[in-house]
Amino acid sequence: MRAGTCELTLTPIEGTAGGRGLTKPETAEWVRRARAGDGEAFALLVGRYERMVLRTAFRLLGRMDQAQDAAQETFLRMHRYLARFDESRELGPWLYRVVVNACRDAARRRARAPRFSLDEVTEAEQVDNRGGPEEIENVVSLAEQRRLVQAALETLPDKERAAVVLRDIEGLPTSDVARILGSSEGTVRSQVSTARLKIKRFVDAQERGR
Amino acid sequence: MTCAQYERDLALAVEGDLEERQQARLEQHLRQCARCQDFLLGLRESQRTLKGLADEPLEEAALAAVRTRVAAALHESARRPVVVPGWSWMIAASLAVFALGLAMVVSRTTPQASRQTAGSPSPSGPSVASVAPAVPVETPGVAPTPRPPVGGAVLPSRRPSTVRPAAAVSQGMELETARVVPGLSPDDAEQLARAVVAVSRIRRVTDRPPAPPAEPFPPAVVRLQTSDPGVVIYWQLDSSGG
Repeated sequence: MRAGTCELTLTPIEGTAGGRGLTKPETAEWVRRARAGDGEAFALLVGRYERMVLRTAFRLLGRMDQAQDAAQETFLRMHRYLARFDESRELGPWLYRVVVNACRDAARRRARAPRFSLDEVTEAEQVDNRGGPEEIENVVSLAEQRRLVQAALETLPDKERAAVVLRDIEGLPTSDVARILGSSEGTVRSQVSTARLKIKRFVDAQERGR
Repeated sequence: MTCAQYERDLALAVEGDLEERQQARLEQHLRQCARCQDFLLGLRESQRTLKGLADEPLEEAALAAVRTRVAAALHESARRPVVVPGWSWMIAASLAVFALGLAMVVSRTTPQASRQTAGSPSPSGPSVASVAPAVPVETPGVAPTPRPPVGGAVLPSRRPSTVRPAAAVSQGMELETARVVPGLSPDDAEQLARAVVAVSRIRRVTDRPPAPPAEPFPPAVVRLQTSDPGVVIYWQLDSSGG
């Protein structure tokens, strides 16, 4: 597909955001149309996968602004390389690979800059003031737990983090994770096992330190 | 195995990633190890939180920003003219010059016979068997004597009225320039056939080497006097043998 063959208006399409509203054959059809230069089909695919892409990028990079950059790069690569995509396969795993690579490139570019700041707040930390004191306490506790786990993710080496994000947060089977990361299932199992242990120890250490 | 060694198995078993054989061994250990039971409870808690990250809502504004930026980037790339690097123009020019040179070399080395198809006279000189004017015009500086035939020519059988020289030369020689000459006597026809054979042999000889342009074949004229004194046939052979 050539860039610029169509005018693109990437507005969310009703019923398709967040991966809802498209079956596998329908997705294949939209992929075919997007490859032929159909801007509407490309916009629909973006709407179909935008949450998955942004969520994964955010978990891999730890910062929303960098995750947005990586998500943008992912969709631009999708637009550029969709012509090479094998239509008989599912788009999701292919897109996971693209987003992992985009995040890896982003991580290389920022070269050791701190990826996590204690001053940052995630969406879950935005407390709903309509709840009572007990509810607020629970939400804060949950937000704090998630912040700790996210901080633990930040400490992992790139490969372990990618493996555990895809396996545990995205819920992909070990075989798919291995394909996406280009490694064996045994390697992925080892990386996931190590990552889970490191995350637990990190959270335990943070809680003991209070 | 120590408890520390079982921790790796616990980290896999907590999400069902452990193989069955190892699972059975781990369960047996767990039944008698309170420390590993506590460790497993802690792992389940951290895993629940980890997996819960997937449920965190993404701000719609963040998604909209990505959409807008992707659309803007694609729109920009569509507007941007295709930039061809300077060296590609040089390569294209070089290829063009090479193709032109190759075409010139090919056109020089190709025998003129290939350009001179049957029935289409050569624009550069008289065609074979064209009827010359009453007063022969001979090319200055060129001996008018016909070149003797190179031996071994197979002559056609005599035919009463017309001769087809191309058919007469039956040993694979291609005489695209030969024509039927109406009204020739049998003797004239035979002479014409001999001349055609001779010229074609000369042409074959000139065709054999790749005809280096440094040593072109000298131009020659074959003069054929028919029985009619008013009819003389001139056959001009140019440097390429045509």
